[in-house]
Amino acid sequence: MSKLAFQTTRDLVPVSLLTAHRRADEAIRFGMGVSARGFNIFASGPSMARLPSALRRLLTEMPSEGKALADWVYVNNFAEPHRPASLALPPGRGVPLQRSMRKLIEDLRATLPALFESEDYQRRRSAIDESFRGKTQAVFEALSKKAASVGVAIVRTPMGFTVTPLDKGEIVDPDVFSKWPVAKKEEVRQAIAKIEAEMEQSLQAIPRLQKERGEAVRALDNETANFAIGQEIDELRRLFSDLPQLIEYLEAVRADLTQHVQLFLAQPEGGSQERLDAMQLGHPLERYDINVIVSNKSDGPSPVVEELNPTIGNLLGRVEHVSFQGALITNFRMIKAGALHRANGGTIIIDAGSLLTEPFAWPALKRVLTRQEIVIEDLAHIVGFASTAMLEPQPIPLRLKVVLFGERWIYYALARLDPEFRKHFKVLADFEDELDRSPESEALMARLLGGIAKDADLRPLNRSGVEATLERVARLTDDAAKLSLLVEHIQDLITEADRVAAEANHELIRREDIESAIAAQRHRAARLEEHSRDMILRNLAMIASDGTRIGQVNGLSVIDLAGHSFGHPSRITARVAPGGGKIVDIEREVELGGPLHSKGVLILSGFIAGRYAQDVPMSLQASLVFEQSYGGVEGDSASVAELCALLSALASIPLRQDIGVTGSVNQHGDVQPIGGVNEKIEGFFDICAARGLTGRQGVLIPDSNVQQLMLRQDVVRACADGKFSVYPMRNVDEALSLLTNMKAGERNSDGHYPPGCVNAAVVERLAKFAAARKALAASQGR
Amino acid sequence: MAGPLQYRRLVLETGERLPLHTLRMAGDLAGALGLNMVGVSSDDSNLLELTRVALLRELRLPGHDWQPLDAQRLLTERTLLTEQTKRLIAEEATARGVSCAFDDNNDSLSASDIAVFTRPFWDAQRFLIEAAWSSRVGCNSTGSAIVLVPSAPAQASRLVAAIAEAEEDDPATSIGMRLVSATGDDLVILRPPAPMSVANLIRLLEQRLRPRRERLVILPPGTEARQIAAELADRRNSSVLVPS
Repeated sequence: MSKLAFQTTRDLVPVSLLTAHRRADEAIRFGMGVSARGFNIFASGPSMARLPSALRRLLTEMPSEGKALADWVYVNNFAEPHRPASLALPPGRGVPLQRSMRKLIEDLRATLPALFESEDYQRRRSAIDESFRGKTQAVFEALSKKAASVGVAIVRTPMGFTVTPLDKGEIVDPDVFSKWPVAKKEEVRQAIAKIEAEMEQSLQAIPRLQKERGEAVRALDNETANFAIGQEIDELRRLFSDLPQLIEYLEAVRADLTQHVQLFLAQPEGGSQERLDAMQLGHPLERYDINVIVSNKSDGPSPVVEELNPTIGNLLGRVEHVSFQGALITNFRMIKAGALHRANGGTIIIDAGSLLTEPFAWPALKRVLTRQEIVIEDLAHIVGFASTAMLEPQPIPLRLKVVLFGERWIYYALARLDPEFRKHFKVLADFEDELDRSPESEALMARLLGGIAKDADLRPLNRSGVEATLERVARLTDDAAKLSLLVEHIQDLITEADRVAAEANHELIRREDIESAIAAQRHRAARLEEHSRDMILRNLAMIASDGTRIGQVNGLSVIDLAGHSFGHPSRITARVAPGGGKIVDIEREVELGGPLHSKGVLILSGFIAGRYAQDVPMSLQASLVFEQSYGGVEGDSASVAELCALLSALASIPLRQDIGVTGSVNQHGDVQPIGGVNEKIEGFFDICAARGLTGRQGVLIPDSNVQQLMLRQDVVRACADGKFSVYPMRNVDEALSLLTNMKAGERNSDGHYPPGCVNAAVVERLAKFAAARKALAASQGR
Repeated sequence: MAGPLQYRRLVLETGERLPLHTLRMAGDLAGALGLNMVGVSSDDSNLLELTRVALLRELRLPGHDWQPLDAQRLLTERTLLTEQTKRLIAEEATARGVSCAFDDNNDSLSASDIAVFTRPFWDAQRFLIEAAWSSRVGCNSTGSAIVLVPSAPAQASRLVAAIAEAEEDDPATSIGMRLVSATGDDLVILRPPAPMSVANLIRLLEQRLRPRRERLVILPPGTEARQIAAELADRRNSSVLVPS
C-alpha cells in the first residue's frame, strides 16, 4: 500500500481483473489473435475467480479487426420447402429486407385482387369463357339436333347420361315402347347406338376443351399477376441491388408469386388487421416472409455472447413446432437462432461444466467446430423420438471464437479423456488463484477493490478499509505472502461491509466495517465450530491443555465445511510392546484412514527403523490412534504428532499437553509444511483461551509455515503478551525437546546417544524389546 | 331502411349438385333478408320409368364407362346426392342463423320464394332433354323471384348493383339495401337502360362500375328481365337476381 497514495478507493483508477491474471490475459489475447482453426480458448480457474465477467469485459474491449459480421436470415426454399435456405446479408440489412418483403406482400394483397376484379381482366376472362362455351355449345347443339333427327334424346342422370327413344317428340312411355314392332325397335336400337357413340366422343372432347380453357385462363392470370408482381419485385431488386446473393431468391419469389396468385385472390378485402394476419403461422402467404435469425448493427462491435444454459438447442438453434388444427407443424419461420448464430463473427463464452452436463451439447459443439458450420440438430431426432415433420435448414458458415471456462479439473479431465479436445481448444488461459504479495500487488488489489465497489454501486473504501480487506484477502490464501484473486469472496465481504457501514452511517467502508463483516460471516457459519469447542471444554471430547502424559499428544487438524474452516485439536495416542516391527495404524485398520494418512504412518516405521534399529531387529509392536475420532482421517499433517507420541511411548517420557503439534515428517525426521496452519493455531488457542491462558501453552508448527502466518489479532496479542506461543520446528528432535523438556540427543562419535536424552531412552527400550523377543523365541525352541 | 319484404323462403333444389359459391350466395341472401332456407326435391319418376326399357344404357361420368340403366342404382345415387345437398344447406342455414326445412314432395314456387339456380357452364343441360328442376323451372318461374348464379363467378368482390327506377320503394333497391347492410358490401343503384337488353346492361355496368366489378346484379321485376337474366349471368360471370 505504500506504493499508492489515496484517501478512498474513489481516488483510484479502477483496474480490470485480468490485469492480475497476466498469464491468462496474454493467452486470451494470443488465442483471439490467431484465426486458424482450433485456436479456441479454455479459460481455467476457480469458480470464485469470476472468470465469465473478466472474460466478457476483456473480449468486449478487444478490437474486432477482420471480423466478418453479417445478418443471417432464413427464407423459404420454394423448390424444397423442408430445406429452408439461409442468406447472409451485411449487418443491419436483415430487418429492412424483412420489412420490405412484408410490405411487398401487403401491397400485392391490395393490388392483385383489385387487378383481377378489374373490368379489363374480367372482359378478357369472359372472352375466354365465352369461347369455351361457344365450342361446347356447338358440339352439343349439333348432337342434340342429330339425336332428335333420328328419334332419340339424350337425358341427364344423377351420374351421367342416357340416350332414350322419342315418341312424337316426347320421351317414350316404356309400355308403348314394348308394343313397338321388332323392326322399329331394332331401328331405334341402331339410332341409340349411333348417338351413344357420338355423345361419348363429344363428352370426351370436353376435358380437352376444359384444359385449353384452363391454360388460357392461367396464361391470362400469369400475365395479369406479372404486371403487379413484376413492379413490386423490381422495386425490391432496386432497393437491394448491392446484394447479388438476394437476386436468385427474389427471382424465385417472383416465379412463386405468379404461380400462386390465387393465394392473394382468395383473401377477403379488409383492413390493416387482416393484413397483419397474413404473417401468422399457417397463413398461406407466410411462405414469402423473411425469418431474421441474426440481426446486427451496421456499425456495431463484434458480438460477445455468453450462453448460460448451453443446451444443444440453445447453442445450435432449434426448429419449433406449433399445434395447428390438431397437428404439429413447422416451417422456415419457426427456425430459432442459437447462441452460435448470435455470436457468429465474434466470440461465444460457455461454461464448460454446464456444457458437459447438457446431453449431446458437447459432441454437438465439436461437430460444429469440425464442420465450421452451424447445422441445426433436433434432439428428438437424435434420440429417435421424432414423429413430426422436420426441417433441414441450410447450414450457416461458422466464423467465431469459442471460449470455454471452468475449473481446472475439467480442463485436465477433458484433455485426458477426450482426444478431440486439444484439437479444438489449443489455447489454455490459466487464471491464477493468488498473487504474490508486494507493494505493487497490494496497489493493484486496492484499485481492483475500488472497481468492484464502483461496479456494484457500493460505498468506496477508505485506506483502513482497504488495508483490512487486503489482510482478509491474504488470509483467504492461508499465506501471508499471497493475495487471493477469488473475487467472489472479496465482493461478498465488501458488500456485507457496505451494509455494516450503512447501519453505522459511515460514508466510507472502514476497517471496523470490514472486521465486523468478517466476524458476522464467521458467526453465521460457526455453529459446528462452537459445538466442537463446547464438547472439548465440557470434557466430552478429551483434549488436555496442561500437564504431561506418556504416549499422548495434541494433534491439530482443520475442518472445512462449505467454505468455513476451523482448527480442531485431536488427541493422538500411541502404545508400544515387543513385537514384529509393525506399527498398527488403527484408523487404517478400521478403514477410517485415507491413503495419505496411511502413508504418513508408514513413513514413521521407516524413520524409526532407520534411526533406532540399525544394530538390532525392530522388535516393536505399536499402535496409533486418533482418540474419539469417528469419521475419516486424511492427510499426513499429524505425522510429527504421531511420531512424538510413539517415541514418548517407547521412551516412557511424558509429553507436554499444553502444546499442540502439526506438521508432517519424512523418513529423515525433517518436518515438512502443512496446510491450514492459521486455523490450526487459532483452534488450539481458542481452547486454551477458554480454559485460561497460562503462558506455557502454544503450538508447534513447521518452520517453513511461519511465512504463511496470518493470525487473528487476539492470537497475535496473546503471543506478544507472552500468554501463548507459536514454536517453529525444523525436525522431529526439536519437537521432542520442546514436548519433553529434555534434549532429544544426537549420536556421538561411537554411534551412541548420550544417556539421559530422549533418543537414548528410545534405543534402550527397543533393545529391551529385541532381547525379550529373543528370549521368548529361545524358550519356544526357535 | 327499406320496408318489409314479401319473401319468406329461399329455395334450393336438393336433387342437383350444389356448388359452394351458389350455397354462399344463397346463404348471404337468406341471412341478409331473414329467409327460411328450404330444400325441395323435383320429381324424377320419368327417369326411373325409363329403366324398364331394356336396351338403354348409362354413360357414367367422369369415367365414361357404359352400364345398363339400373333403377336401384339411380335411386341410390339420387338419394345420396340429395342427402349431401341437404346437409350443406342445413350447415349454411346454421352458420347464417336462419331456419331450414326440406320438402321432398313439393317443388312448386310462390311469390314469397326466392329460387336459386346455378347456371351450367359447359355441360349439355341446355341442349339435352332432362328432368332437372333448374331447367324445368329456371327462368320460367314466373311466380317467384329467381337468382341465377354463374358456374364460375368473377373474382369475389364486395359490390352489388341494383338496376332500379327509384332509390326508394323499389324491389331491387329494397333487396340491395338489406343485403349490403348485412354483408358490408357496397351498393350502386343504376337507372335501367332503354331498351333493357343484355348488351345495354353490360355497357352500363362497365361504364359505371369500372374498374370494379359487381358480384350481384339485381334487376327490376318483370318478364323482360327474366328473359335476359340467364345471358347476363353467363356473360358477366355475376349472379343475377330478378324479384317477383
